[in-house]
Amino acid sequence: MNYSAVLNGGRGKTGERLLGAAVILPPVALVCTEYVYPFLMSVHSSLLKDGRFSAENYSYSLSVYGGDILFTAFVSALSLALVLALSVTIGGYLTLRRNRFLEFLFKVPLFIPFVVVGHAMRTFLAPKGLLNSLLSQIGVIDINHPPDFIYGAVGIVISLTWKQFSFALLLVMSSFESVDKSYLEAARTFGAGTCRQILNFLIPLTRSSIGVTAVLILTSFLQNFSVVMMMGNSGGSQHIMVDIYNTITYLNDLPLANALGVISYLLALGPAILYLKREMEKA
Amino acid sequence: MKKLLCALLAGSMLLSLAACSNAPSEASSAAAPAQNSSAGAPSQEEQKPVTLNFATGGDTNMSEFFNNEISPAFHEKYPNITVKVTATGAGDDGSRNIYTKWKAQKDAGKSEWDIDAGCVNQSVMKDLIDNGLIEKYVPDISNQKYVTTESSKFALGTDVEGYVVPLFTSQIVLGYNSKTVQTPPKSYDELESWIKANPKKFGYNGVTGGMSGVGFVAGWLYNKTKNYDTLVKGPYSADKTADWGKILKDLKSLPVTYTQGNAGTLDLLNRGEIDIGPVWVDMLLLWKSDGRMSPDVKMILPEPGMPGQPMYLVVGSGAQKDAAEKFCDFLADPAVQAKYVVGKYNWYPGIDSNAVFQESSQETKDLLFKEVTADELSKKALALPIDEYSKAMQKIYTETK
Repeated sequence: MNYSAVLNGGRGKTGERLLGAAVILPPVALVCTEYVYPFLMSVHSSLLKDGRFSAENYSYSLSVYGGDILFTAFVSALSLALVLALSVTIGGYLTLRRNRFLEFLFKVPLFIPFVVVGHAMRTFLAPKGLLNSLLSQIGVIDINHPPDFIYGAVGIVISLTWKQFSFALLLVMSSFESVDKSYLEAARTFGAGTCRQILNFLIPLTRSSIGVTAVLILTSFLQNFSVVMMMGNSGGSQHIMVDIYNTITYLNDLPLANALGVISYLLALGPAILYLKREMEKA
Repeated sequence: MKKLLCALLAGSMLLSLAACSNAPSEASSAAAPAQNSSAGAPSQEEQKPVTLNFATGGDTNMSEFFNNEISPAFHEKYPNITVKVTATGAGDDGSRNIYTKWKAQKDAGKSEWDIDAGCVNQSVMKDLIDNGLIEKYVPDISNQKYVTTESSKFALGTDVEGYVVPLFTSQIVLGYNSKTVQTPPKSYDELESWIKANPKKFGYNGVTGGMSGVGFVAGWLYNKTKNYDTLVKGPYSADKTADWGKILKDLKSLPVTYTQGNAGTLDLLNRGEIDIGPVWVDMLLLWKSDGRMSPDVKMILPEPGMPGQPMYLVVGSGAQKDAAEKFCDFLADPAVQAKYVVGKYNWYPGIDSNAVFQESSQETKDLLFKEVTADELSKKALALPIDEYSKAMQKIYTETK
């Protein structure tokens, strides 16, 4: 037996393992100190009520803010569905029929911050905002009795969809372009139109990438603050991030705010688990 | 080569992590102005250069006020004192940042603090006094005879006499579109009837997003409960809030439009989407002068009144006391109040208003008191509830569906 070779090989592998650990240690330490530790502190705070351990903050959150939690899940899911439908349709079309100018136009919202989107939508879509003013000029609506439904779920969904559609388009198009062109050529040879190519080829072959896109977009919707703050309806259901802000600023009740924060973590946890599971299966 | 590269990468990551952990603490604090070498010890000699570190809560107009108007004027009077202004943010949070900074430095045993004086709102006064963070400096200043208003004595139930010079008083009123509302409601009861007769034409922001809505709801409670004195002076008693659930439920059942905050209400008034809404007087006048508000929007102060709130000038216990007191004294001067507080920024004076208005121009007085007279203000400018009742109001309003 070549003991030297074994020993040298063993030392080499240990050295590589140590080097690998040294490389990943700083980012892991960063994640632990900047995320895991604050998260644990947040959970700890959420279980405190008047200085003692209690789940009262959670029961209060569910009873008073339960409607808002459902509202958050609803607007996020609806916005996600619209984003995916639009990005897959338009992304598929632009993949099959290249149009750089249209592609650029659709990607413009990427460069616009959420807070600007919120303010722009607030004034553009307002009952007596720019859109309704233009529509009243051509007699579509009566400006003295304009439609008044924009603040709340409708406005939030429109704003979030418009903003994140371009991000989804970027991701979806890059995965569509990785599909082997020979499949699409073969499909066209057999008479498949654009719709058929998108539905039966592009989407099935890029399902995991679309899934990753969905997880990222949904998380961004669950954590959004500026758009939901500006387009929300103060008298109706609110996004959970607005409730957290109000609890901290106006009630100065940090344990309750932390309880709401933990609930929002749990809402995002589902998609995160799916994402990690898929990544580990791929690995 | 690969291993060497990995080793270098690991090393540089470790170094950058160590560097991040040694970042100056000011990077994580919203209220920390830069250190100044001359701020080490309180100045004992009049001509020794001093940098006074001043922090202000409130919106951007507050930092503009101190940076653009007050600091240069103060430096002209006291050439050896330079004022460095830091904005700590709007709302209760901004004032709480100042409290947090002072508390941290006191707990750390520091004798000289980073912030010498501050401009804070009422909500933080109890904590500042209870923790021994501010000086009782008003008896020592030359303009103390003008510091006579009710708000200079009490802040949401806390005795603040001697600790504060109110910089200004801002007042909530009802803004209304004079073109569509020929006869604005003169009381909360008339307003309630008007709202029912004109659905969705009254707008406010609830109890979140802006103090104009909070003040409106507080005024609603004062009108319905007739318990104003108890709610603003205390003591707190939970049984006084027993009927608030029904009162606020009735309020929430009215056909109103909910806005996104102070600016949201003003926006909707300007666009004609609502005809009446609670607004801050100074914001309305500022928007009008900026051309952002229709000149048809006017003000009315309904019976029994609406709250307003002052912003307070306070001096930290670890401050450069002499310079800080001079600064607050400067702002307690009726001539300074007339020129800057009232004249340029359209706030109501924080000190004796008679003394201030003697120094004010007729144009300024016309602008401020044309629609809501000084006499009306003296009778109907109310205070916000004490902290416990204020939090109870927010909680019950939120819980009421």
